[in-house]
Amino acid sequence: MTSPLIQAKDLWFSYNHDNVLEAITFEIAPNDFVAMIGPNGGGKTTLLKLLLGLLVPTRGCVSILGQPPRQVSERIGYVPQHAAVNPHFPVSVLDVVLTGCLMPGIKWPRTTPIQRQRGLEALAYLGVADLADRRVGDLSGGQRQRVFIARALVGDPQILFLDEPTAGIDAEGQNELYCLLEELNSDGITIVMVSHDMLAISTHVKSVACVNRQLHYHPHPELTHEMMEMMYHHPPGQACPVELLAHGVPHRVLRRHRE
Amino acid sequence: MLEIFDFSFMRHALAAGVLVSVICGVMGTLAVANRLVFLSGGIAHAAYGGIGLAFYMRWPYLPGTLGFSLLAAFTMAAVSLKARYRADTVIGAIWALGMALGILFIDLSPGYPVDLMSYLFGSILTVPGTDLWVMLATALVIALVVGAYYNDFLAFSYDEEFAQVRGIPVRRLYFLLVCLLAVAVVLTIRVVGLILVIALLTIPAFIAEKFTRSLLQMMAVACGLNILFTLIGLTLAYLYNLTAGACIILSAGAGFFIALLLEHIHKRKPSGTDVPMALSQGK
Repeated sequence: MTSPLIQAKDLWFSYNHDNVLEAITFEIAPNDFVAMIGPNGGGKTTLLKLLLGLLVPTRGCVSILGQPPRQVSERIGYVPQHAAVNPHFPVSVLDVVLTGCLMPGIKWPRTTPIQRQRGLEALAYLGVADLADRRVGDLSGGQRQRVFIARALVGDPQILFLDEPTAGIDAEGQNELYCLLEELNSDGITIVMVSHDMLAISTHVKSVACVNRQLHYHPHPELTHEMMEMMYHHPPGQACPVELLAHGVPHRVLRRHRE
Repeated sequence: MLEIFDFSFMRHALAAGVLVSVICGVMGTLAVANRLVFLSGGIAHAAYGGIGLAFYMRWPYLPGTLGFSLLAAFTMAAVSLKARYRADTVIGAIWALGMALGILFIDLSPGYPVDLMSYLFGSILTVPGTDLWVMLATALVIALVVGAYYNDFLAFSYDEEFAQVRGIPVRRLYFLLVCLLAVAVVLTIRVVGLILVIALLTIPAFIAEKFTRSLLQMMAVACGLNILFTLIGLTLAYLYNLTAGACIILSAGAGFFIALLLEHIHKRKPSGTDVPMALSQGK
C-alpha cells in the first residue's frame, strides 16, 4: 500500500459558532480520482478550501505529501468555481494561464519564452490554443473553464483540485471535460473534484466522498440508496425523484413523478 | 502657445503634472483593477486630518500628512480584510472623521489660518522645487516596486484565491498596494487637491481598461491620458485664468464621456474593437 498523498486528521471547521465540518478524517491515495459530493451547504467547498490551505481548520490538520498545503503550492493545481473575476479585467488568455507557473518571491516581470511555450502547450492540450491572445473577458463560460484548467495544469501539478468544474457547461462539454480529467488521471495526476453531478461521476471517478458536515468515503464509485438518503435526508417514501441504481454499469431509473 | 513655459512656475507645474500623471496612471490602474477606488477616496479625505495635524504641530506637510494617511489607510485595509461586507461603511466613517479632525486642528492652530482651498483644489502653480524631487523619487520607488511584483499584482488582482493557492503572499501584497496608494494620494493632493484626486486615479484607468489587454498596457495608456489631461488643463487654466486643478479634472471628465460615447458607438458596429483608432479619437 502506497502512503497517502492527502491526509486529513480530525478536521473541524466552524463559522459563526456553527460547525460546518465535524471530525473529518480521511486519506487520498496517489492517483485517486475522488468526487466530493453532497448537498448545498454541506461543506464540500469548505473542505476543498481547507485542503488547499485557503482556510485554516478550527481543529485538526491537513497534510499534502506529508506537509502543510501552503508548503507544497507548486505541486497543486486549482480550478476555482466561477472565479469571482472582474469581466473587464485587461488580461490576455495566455497571461492568465501563465499566472499558473507563478512562484513566490521577486522575479523579472517578464515571463520567459519557455514559460510562454508551456502556456501555449497547456492551451493546445485543452483545444483552445487559438484563444491565446484574446481578452479573457470575451470568452464564453466553457472556454474560460478550459483556460482555468490550462492555468492549473501549466505548473505541472501532482494533484488537481476542481470546484464544480461542470457548472455552466452544456452536456456535451461536460462529457468532454470528464474524459479529459480521466486522461489526466491515467497520466498520474491525482484529482479531487467537488461536484453535485452524481449521474456523471458514477461513470468517471474512482472513489466518492460524501460530505454533509461529516465525511463518508467510498472507495468505489457506487452510489447507493443509503448514500442518497444520507446526503439528502429524505424521509422514506419521499425519496429524491431521481433514483439511482449503480451496480457497476451505470443504470438509471426515473421514478414516476408523484401527483 | 509654447511661450507659457517661459515662466518657471509653469515649468514646475508641468514637471509636477507629468510626475503625478505617471504616479496616478500606475496606481490608478491597480486601484481600479482591485476595486480600491472607494478606499483611495477614503485615504484622500482622511489625509485632510493629516494636513491639519501637520499644520497644528508645525510639522512639514509631507511627513505629517503621509504618516497620518498611512495610519488611516492601514486601518481601512485591515477592516476591509476582516469584514469585507462592512468595508464601505468603515471607510466612510474614517473618511468623515479624518476631514473633521483636519478642520478642528486648523481651528486650534494659532495665527493666520492656512489656505485650505489650496489643499482642496490643488496648488500646482506653486509647487516648490523640493517637492518635485520628492515626487520623482516616489515615482521611481513606485515603478520599482510595481515592476518587481508585477506578476504577483497581476495574479492577485485577477484572481486572489488562485494567487493564494500558488503561494503568493496576498495579504502582504494587499497592504503593500494600500501603502503605495496612500503615498500616491498624498502626493497628488499637492497638485490637484484632495477633492479631485480620485479623478486622476480612476478616469484614465477606466478609459484605458476598455482598450487594453494587459495591466502594463493599461498603466501606460492611463499615464499617457493623465499627461494629456494635465497639459490640456494647464493650458486652459493659463489662457482663461482659471483654477488649474479644476481644469485638469474637467479635461479628464470630458475624456471620460468621450470614451463612453466611443464605446457605445463601437458596440453598435459588428466587428471587434480597434484599439489605436479609438484612442486617437479620444483626444
